Amino acid sequence: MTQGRYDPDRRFLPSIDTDLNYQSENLEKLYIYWHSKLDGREMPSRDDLDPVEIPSLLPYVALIEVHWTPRRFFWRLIGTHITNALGYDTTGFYFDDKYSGQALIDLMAVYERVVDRRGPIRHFGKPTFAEKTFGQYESTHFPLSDDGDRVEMILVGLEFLTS
Amino acid sequence: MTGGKDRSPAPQLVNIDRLVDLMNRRDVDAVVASSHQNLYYLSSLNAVAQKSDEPRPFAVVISRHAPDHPILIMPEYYMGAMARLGSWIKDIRPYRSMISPLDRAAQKRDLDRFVPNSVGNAAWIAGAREAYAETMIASLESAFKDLRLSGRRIAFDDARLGMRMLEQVDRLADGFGLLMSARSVKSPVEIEMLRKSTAINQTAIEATIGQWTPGMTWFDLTHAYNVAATEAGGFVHDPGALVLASPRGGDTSIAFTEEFDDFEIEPGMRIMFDCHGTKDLYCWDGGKTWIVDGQPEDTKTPAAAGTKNAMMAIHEALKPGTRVSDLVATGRAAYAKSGTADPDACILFLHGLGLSHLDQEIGEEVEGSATGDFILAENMAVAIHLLVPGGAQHRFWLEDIALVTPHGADRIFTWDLDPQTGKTE
Repeated sequence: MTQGRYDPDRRFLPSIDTDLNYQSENLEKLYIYWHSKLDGREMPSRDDLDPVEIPSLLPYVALIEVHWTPRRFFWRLIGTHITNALGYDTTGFYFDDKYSGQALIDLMAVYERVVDRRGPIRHFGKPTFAEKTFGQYESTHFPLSDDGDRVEMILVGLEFLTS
Repeated sequence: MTGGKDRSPAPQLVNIDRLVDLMNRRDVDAVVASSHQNLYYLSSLNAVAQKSDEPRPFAVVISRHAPDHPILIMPEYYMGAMARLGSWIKDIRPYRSMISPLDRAAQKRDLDRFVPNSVGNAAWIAGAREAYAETMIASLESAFKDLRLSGRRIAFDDARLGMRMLEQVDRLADGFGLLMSARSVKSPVEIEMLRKSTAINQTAIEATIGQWTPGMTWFDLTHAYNVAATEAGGFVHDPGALVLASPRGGDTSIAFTEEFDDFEIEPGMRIMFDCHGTKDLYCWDGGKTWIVDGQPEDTKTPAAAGTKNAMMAIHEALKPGTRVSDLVATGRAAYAKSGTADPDACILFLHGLGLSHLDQEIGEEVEGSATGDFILAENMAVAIHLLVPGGAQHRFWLEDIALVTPHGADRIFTWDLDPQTGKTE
């Protein structure tokens, strides 16, 4: 997250951590779960995941569809820890239904990095995009793929922290 | 709809991870909803009824194993509604309806009769064409197969539909109670809906009181409220929105309005506004006491002060983990401390509010037959009713709507807790 005066158009500029140095136990558990589904592959598929196996983590989880041509991202499911903090629910919308300009470019860049890397990326920073006030947020974007090659969905774990 | 881009759907109402959690706890693999409120809750699609007195022959299927893949089954003639209103659900499965001619063999292209030009090449339409089924049951069977639900434990909110699907399921479960429980905790979108709905009620009550002139009768008042609520964008239901009666003279009975003949509203009467209606299917409820042609000193009586203090005490205690019976005791103690004449005679009760005037699962009892001693959870919406019984010039009533938060009540009404006197403050 860049420091200095808050610019609403640049609210999606998180700090990036590919070493996954978690503060959130929930996100660490989600990483362990995602990792347990790899079965020797680079990425698991959506069908490998069963929400029944991670009931306590569901409020912190979002599922994003990756559309390739043209490139768009679609909120398929969003947990209530996230929607309650944001103060709105974007399930069923594309990113470009809700954002435009630099905010959309920055938000898509967060997800593009995961598509390109084909591995999990941890983000953190001050959640200036949330309606409620929190000290920090931490998230991880995990790629999912049916064929093990092309990222078709992104599993997001997101926790807002009070301090 | 432009350029093939999907129309923005109505925002998701359902608290999906609460629903999955409830299914896990009850060992339910999926829920099939076909009742009006539950269809709306799960799909956000509020299509007009084919006939106003009939339920919409829809179904929504949500598996706890794939909550991100809900399926919406609908008669073909609702394709236009789907195009116009949208839904967060993208797997739309139409079936051949009563409109399609019985003297012609069914064909896949029949669906196109019901697809408006505005649909364009929206993503869901191709899937809908592929899934077009002969009947609703066939469509449900197909959905069960695709979600791998055959032989699983399925909850239905309509037992009749569940009975029709017996060959496909291992065991039936109660989907009505399951969804009542899910609905008891409100999502951000639902909270916004409740605020809009309650604002209509508040506006309509204030407008109604403002129309009072000597000679106005109870029926006139009821009509004025119904018109005001409708003008404000809400809907009231037959036989009218004003629910609680305000009996004349020394009658202290607690009754509903239709039990009484018309009467003239006279200065000094305490009219108890308890109004019901909906906006976008989300209910409003409640109101307060109107002291007809009241004076400032009328608002300071022990009954008025006790009611306000009891409500404030309940507000303070409206936190997650609190039991409703404890709230009632808290309110009654505040009545006693305020010098209200007979606190034991005061009526205090609470219920949920949302798509119904219940929105709570009442354990082993039949929903609606009992208030239920439920335990509060964060973001539950509750209607809090306080009544000091008495005759027309002595009773006192206040019904407030609030959300449960860790800090106590987050009120939905924006007015204060004092009675209305008809005077501009």
